[in-house]
Amino acid sequence: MVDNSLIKEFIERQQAAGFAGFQGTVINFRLPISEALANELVQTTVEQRQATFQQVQLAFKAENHAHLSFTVRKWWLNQRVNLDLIVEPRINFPTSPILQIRLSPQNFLLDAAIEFLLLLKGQPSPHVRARGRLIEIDVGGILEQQHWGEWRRYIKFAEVIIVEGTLLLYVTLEVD
Amino acid sequence: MPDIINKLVANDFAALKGLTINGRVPVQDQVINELIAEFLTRGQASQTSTQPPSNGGAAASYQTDSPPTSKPNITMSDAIKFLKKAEVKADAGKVILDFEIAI
Repeated sequence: MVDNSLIKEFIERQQAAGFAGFQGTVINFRLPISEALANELVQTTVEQRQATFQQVQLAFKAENHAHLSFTVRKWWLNQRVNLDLIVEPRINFPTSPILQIRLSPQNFLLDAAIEFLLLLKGQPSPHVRARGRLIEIDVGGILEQQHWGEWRRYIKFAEVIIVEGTLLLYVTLEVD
Repeated sequence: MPDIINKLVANDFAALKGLTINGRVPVQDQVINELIAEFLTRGQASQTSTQPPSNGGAAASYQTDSPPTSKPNITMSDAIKFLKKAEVKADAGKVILDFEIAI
């Protein structure tokens, strides 16, 4: 029987040494995330932390298009918002680990609304920025916030592909 | 998040159908020797500590009664059943592990 604590401590020691004893390692991940699972994740992370946003629904369309809808409840405001999103596939690890999402042209008038929504917390999220029709999610910053920052340097490739009903995440880790 | 992960484990990772992880891990012999030494040391330590605790098992019940942690409950056996391929080769000063995991 393998002792989990032994493995955990072993990994922690190797991590502290920069995985020098594992030089040349390459691991490829292909992770399909269904719409149902993505919605569960989004609803858990968004709705539990930010009561302003409710009934968040995410749908994966073909060719890296997604549809996001949510209800904004704040003060007098009670508005259902529908957004068509275009996801840029590549996340450039480790130089600029940012996921870029563009609002489709028909959402042009919502630009200001999105910026407003990001500010509703009282201060903008440090890991989400809105510029015009471009929304940038700082994946590297989120990893650091979740105490996964040290793993950033091993991520050499990350790509997000959306096909109908599924989001496919491709990640390559390398120890060089 | 831990609740979602625990649900994934309980459903045998069905929601992640199509997941694949493959890779090549070259491990220096020094690291393997370190791991073996640690494993043997732990094994000997557990064999010598066969006496029951002097407080009549209070230590064991403390473990059982401790509040549940927020960490997801994944064991090695949860993951190892999805191992589709594992090849070990020896090279100069290294052991190379090729593996593939698929759900």
